[in-house]
Amino acid sequence: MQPLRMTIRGTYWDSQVYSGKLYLFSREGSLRTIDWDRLVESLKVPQELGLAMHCAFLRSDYFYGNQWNMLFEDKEVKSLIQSKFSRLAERDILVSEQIVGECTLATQDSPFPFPHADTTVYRNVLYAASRSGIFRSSCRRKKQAIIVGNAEKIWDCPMLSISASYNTLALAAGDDGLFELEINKDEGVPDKNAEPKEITKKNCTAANWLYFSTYGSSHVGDGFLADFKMIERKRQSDIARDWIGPNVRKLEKIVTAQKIFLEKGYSWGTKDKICQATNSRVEVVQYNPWKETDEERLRPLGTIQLQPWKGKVISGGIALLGTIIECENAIVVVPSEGDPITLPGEPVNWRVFPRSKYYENTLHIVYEDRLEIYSFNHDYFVDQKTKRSGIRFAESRRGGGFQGR
Amino acid sequence: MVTFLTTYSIAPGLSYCVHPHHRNRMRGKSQWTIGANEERDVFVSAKTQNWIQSSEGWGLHIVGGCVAYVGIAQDHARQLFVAKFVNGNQNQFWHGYPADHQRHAQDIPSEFVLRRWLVGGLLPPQKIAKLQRGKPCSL
Repeated sequence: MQPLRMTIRGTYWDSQVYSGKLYLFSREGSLRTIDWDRLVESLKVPQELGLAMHCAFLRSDYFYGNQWNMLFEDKEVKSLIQSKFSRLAERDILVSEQIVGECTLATQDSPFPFPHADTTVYRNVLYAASRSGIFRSSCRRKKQAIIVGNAEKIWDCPMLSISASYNTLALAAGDDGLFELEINKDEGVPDKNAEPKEITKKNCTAANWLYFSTYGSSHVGDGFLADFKMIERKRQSDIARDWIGPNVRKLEKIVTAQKIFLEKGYSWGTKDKICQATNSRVEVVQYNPWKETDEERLRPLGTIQLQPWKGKVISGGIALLGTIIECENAIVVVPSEGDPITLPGEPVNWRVFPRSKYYENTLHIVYEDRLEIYSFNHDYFVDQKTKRSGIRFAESRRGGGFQGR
Repeated sequence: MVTFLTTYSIAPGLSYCVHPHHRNRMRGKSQWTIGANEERDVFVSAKTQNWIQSSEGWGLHIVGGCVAYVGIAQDHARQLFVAKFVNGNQNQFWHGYPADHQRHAQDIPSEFVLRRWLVGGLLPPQKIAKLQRGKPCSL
């Protein structure tokens, strides 16, 4: 099934989508906050494609989960829904400047040093990693025209990439290694006495979360898994109900990519999958931090064979929709089902949203003159337990614990 | 005590020195692949363009209007195109080396300089973004 494509023309640097807002960082150093729900709703599509449009760009969670099993086992129903996405995919959705203007809530100078290296949104706080350090800015809705508040510097170490989960920022600092910084869950700032914690000195250019563990990617060294254990602190007694504190993450060991894959190559990981690209194939390993032995924790799932690369591998990502490989001159998407899709061209930036609730099926790619938002809608019908490409959807995720919306 | 290969007087009170460690194939040091005079010219150009700040600065080697490689990384293989300059003892006695953005976050040019390169069209945004995120970046 082909993905849907929405194009917003303009010269952008970065984009984020969170809680009904699209944040567009321009190459002139401004930040535009757009009412994303309104923008999607204002794009006219035939009434019979309205459901597909809504799920594709506003509610990726809608078709996931056990509640649809009976419905999707009916081949006619499944085929009907798939056909709606396919019909929508035939349309190139070009968002006019007028619609962007009408849906713009605010335009302001970027609160962060420009150009920044990376951004993430976590618990209504926008974080940026840059050469000047780590910054935070609240993006809660405000009465004033300025939506994103002034930035506060929370660490002055130069940083290449940032990723947030478990009230912690995972920070990639090149040869200085991988760091973590705990943040207060209400304010998104480090607690008074919190110091950045060095996880390893190994070269790290990108950091991502595998449940409560982290994965560090590197081009000059070996990638690595920072394998954590979650120590659950329970109430001392049901009668006393004495709360003895939250669960605690404890670093068990650093496992190098070479040990996981038995060969060298650029590697990356998110949630339950770790990938390594070598020549024209991607090796996939499933990670399960709740298992005891290494064999059970890291289980090879096999190889995804691809056409020869469109140039050197630059970076990678994993989302429910599949595996994303940034090459020198193209982005290759290996969907959880179906043939790989090559999106030619050298991007300025791209991102997927594996921690979000409503936008997990989208891939944002900033090109020199536009932002393209791809929506992949094949994965609702894929067996989540056996998929090799892409992270697994777990029913328990509906119960909360995921902060991005 | 390092003995510099050559010292150029750029202006009164401002000197540029060619550091031997970045020209003698020393292990663990990036190496220039352009001549010493060109290295100096990259510094002078960076100074003229205001890409040099108080104690550090960055430069580009521009040949025929295009950015060209200046050296190789400490593995003595990977090509580099950004030059970093440091004011060694804070006495305007500058030296430089090919900067490795993939290995050292401090080698990534400051936002001020990157913004100038972006606005000036010296490097396309794709390259600037790769520099900032420590991604492989070729010309």
